[in-house]
Amino acid sequence: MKDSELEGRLKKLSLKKMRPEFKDSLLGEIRKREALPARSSWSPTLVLNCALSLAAVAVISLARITSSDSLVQEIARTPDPAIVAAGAELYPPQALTFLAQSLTVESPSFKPQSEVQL
Amino acid sequence: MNTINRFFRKIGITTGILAGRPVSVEALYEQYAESLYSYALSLLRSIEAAEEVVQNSFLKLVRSPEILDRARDAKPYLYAMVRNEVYDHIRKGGEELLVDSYDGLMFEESSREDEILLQQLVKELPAEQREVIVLKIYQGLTFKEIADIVSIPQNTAASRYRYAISALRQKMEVTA
Repeated sequence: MKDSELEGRLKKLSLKKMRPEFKDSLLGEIRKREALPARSSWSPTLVLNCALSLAAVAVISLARITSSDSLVQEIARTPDPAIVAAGAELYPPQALTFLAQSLTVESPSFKPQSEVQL
Repeated sequence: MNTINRFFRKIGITTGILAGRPVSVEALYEQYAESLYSYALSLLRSIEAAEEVVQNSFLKLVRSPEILDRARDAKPYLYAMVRNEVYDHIRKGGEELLVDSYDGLMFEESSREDEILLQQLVKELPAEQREVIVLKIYQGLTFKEIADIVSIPQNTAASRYRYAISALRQKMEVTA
């Protein structure tokens, strides 16, 4: 028997086919899933992610501002001579005075405008 | 062309033909499902397992059709995908890998004695030779494509085929 003859006989054998009900069912599932709209650029998940990211950035920024204000205010209330001296070397003394005045909001000399009028 | 395909998918167009090959998974399914199923069944013992493998492969494609963009040609890629699914199935299910003779239902029943004999002889081939026979004779793949799918050198694919044909011929002559 020649190889080509054997190959011809092999080709005549049929491999088992899919069960029609399974084939149709899977085709239906593929059609259904492919028909779903492509993910929108503004999906609810994306909007939520953006909002959460913005909120996180805002909270972090606020925390930084608050903590830095508290620190500066604390320094202004109880000035450390060493820090003041170091600051004086870096900034003009007028600027440091202005900064200290503007930050000591709870100083005894400060009163709300309405109170002064009364 | 891959960029164009990605663009079309992004804007929701998943049907039609681009670059001479079907873009939609549905089209791929209609073209290859039957062949991929018979290939999977030739590596597995049960019809249910082969169905599960084909289903997993195509649903994976529906979820991430862009994986086909990496393939130069969809056909051998699909066979490789199914083969990987078969091995995954065997690993997860604890099913034994078919090494020696095949005891599943890879052929349609025949009433002809010579066909029944030949079916039996193919089933008795070592698994690696039987796989090459299935891919070459029934799926019409080239040795290069078979080598890529099975991850073997092209010469090995060709020699496995020759050994299988030679073994089948000898057994046929003995039984005749």
